[in-house]
Amino acid sequence: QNVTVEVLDHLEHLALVDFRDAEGVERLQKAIQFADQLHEVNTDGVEPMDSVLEDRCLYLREDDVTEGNCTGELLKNAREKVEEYFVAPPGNIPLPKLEERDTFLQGS
Amino acid sequence: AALRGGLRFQASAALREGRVAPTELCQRCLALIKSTRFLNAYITVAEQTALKQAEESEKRYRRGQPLGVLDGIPIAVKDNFNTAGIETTCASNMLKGYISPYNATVVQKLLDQGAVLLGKTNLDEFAMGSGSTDGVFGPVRNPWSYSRQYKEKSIPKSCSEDEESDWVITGGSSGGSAAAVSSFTCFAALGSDTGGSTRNPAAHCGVVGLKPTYGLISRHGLIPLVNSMDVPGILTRSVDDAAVVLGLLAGHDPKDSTTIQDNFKPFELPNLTDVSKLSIGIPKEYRAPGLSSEILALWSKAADLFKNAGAKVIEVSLPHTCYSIVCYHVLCTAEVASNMARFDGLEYGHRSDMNKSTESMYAATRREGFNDVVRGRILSGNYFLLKQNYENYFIKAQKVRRLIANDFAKVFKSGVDILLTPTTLSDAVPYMEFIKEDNRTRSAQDDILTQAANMAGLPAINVPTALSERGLPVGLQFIGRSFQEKQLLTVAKWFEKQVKFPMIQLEEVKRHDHNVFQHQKSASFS
Repeated sequence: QNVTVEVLDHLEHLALVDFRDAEGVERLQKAIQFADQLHEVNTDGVEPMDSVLEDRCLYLREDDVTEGNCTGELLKNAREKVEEYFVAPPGNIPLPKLEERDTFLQGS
Repeated sequence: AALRGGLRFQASAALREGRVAPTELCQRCLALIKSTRFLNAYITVAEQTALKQAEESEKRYRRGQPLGVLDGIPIAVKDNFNTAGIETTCASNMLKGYISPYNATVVQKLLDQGAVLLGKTNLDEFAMGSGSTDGVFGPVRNPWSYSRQYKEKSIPKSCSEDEESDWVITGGSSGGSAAAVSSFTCFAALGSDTGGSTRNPAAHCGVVGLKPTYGLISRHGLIPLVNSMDVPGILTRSVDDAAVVLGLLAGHDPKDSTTIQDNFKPFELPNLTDVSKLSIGIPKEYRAPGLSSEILALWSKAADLFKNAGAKVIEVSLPHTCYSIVCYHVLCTAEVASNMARFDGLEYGHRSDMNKSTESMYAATRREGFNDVVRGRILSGNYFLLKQNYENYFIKAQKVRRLIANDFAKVFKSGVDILLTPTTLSDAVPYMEFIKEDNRTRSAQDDILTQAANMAGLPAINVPTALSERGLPVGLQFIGRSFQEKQLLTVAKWFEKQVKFPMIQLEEVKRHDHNVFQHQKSASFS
């Protein structure tokens, strides 16, 4: 079963990463095929494992401020900034629909 | 002699006794880095800061107050650990030019002990790969490619130009670190290990590669790949040295809540003489398809070594071993999809010029910054995490993970102390052959013997064992119980002493390959 263009498009939106070419799509198809081998394993009654340290308590520290005040340092690495703000292009503008986007999937 | 010897016994002693000065040791290592640039092991060489650190160390030695065994010892760090003031790239365009404002905890600990940080080593982009061939700074070359041992066994070429294409890979993803230690440019190096990334290159480069128990060493500052499996790895030329470095790095870190809170006591390794109380398990599933007959024979020989010395050697079964790679594939891509989401160009790293909207800027930035391998894993991961797939893939893989971990638990509960397995399927392959298959295929093949230990969070170590028929290193792997590094390393040290792995005989290489040198930089900071 091939992955539909709708799902591929959806993935590009979620990941904000593009498939780029047929090879990229093929890569995903192969990855899914590979992962399907998991279904050979009988996991009835088996609980999913999040962490090998599940039998221990996660360390929580006191809710005290112990460091910070490093705005200058952190801003150094940003390309676009104004005063103490990171500057982003306008938000709330969704990626263009498949038909209008410059993506390999458009041809599909 | 100090340069080629071990950290603990030779170099450290030489510094303490004043036979060599830290600045001299540092200069020699830096010179060696320059003369072995064709290996492409280093992405950044921090010459100025290293010399400064060496000077500070020298002052301490003169006052008779060295900080410890590691004071003045040159080390290297894989370029996915944050290092303050020194570029950290993860061998990706996404982080080219990124100068971290802080040191990873493990880096800080080494510096606090007076270690001299020579530079950042090369890797597969974002540690995704098993060859150290897929980074933007080019592939790392295995120093053994230029050893007398390998050259003697190679079919003689008609013209010297052809020797160029003969070089073999280091394995990965911590290939730069392994090559750096193997070629004597440093005494210890940090790697990372998520599916075998420290042990695999250690085996191919003939060095000791230790993967500690998950939760023993802090991951704070290690740019994450798979949060539930990543660990910092230690690469050294001897098991004793690995124990020394482990002793300085292990322990709870308040900045990494996945480090356990138990008190960790650094240990010295005893010189084991009596192995009769040991029970060594040989997992039959590790006789994997594709395992070279050479390595199979070596593994058998090693088992006999223990048997003849009086240890109990028994065959055991880890039935879900064959599913660890598939399981890893799903869990890894899923965590990667999440971990790579932070790279959006806004706060650090590469940022695209695209300015129409936040989303399109993010998309363009990630399009420009990540290579195919990384993008592929992000997309696969997102697929497995889709609502319609979550239960069937992600949760399913988590269940299989428990089965794999249970396999180990059962075996260790039955009285087995240590497992003995091969580390890799074969010795290092030539680069030209390695790149014929894609990254995912290669990783799936090469990680098969190392990955399960990451699934279960267990400590594991590669010990260089012998040279293959091609004159290249082959290592064997020991896997231990959780947090029982002392026992693991004690056994590894005994084995190391028995096999007496030969020292690499690096030939003088007179080459002027400018293309390879292009990526090499010497960072100097005020």
